[in-house]
Amino acid sequence: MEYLYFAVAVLLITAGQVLQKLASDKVAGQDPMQSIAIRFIRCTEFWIAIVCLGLGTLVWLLALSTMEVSKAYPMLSLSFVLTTIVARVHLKEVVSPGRWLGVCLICAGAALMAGA
Amino acid sequence: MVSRPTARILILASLLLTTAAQLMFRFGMQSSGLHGLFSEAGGSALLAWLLSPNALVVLGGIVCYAISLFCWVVAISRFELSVAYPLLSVSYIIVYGIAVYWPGFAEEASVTKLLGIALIMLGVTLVAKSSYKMAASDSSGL
Repeated sequence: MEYLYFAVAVLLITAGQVLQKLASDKVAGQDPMQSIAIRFIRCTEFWIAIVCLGLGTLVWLLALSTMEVSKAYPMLSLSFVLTTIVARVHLKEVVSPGRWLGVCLICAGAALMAGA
Repeated sequence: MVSRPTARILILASLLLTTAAQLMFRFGMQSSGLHGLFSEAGGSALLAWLLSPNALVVLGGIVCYAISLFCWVVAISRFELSVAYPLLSVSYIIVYGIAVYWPGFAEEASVTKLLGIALIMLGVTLVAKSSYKMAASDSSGL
């Protein structure tokens, strides 16, 4: 069960980060005469991002009710791995070999910690 | 836009506040029984927890977390992300140190965990260095 909460928290937090990026890209391409705050407030992605990050934090608290923080917190870096995959597959960004290597190291570290 | 020395202080503040937040989260949750929130006893566990001082500790953690995010957002306008992310991952080591050596947590010390943290920190550094290198024109990190 502890890993279920952990996994859901990582998914929600990653979704929040990706949506933040989508929101700022969208807002950057809009009418510069309008205030940046108003453009964000009218942006749906921005609000979904906030909901994802809020829910993600609540589920993260549930994960910490059983998982040690010295173990769970570093493993939260798995969001870098998911963000990279989303950036490559969905946003069609170019991912350098160095970044893939970093992703592999994070996975290896997290796998090691999961067994600790 | 803030000055470079201010940005440096803000990054440091963000690092320390996020460390404090994670520790307060764990401290307030560790004996809450809230992993069973969605079971039959979940409602009464939640009520008991909300009325305990532990809920205040978590609330304090949320405040620290929010201030940390604010410091971070202001600071990174003047700071390279390829430097900021690896710096932030230093908090994994601080959290480990406190959670293991402070009796209020008494988490298990282990070489495997330390090795895992080292791999993750190296991975985060590589991801950050190879993702944000080109984005930096006027800010050169520290």
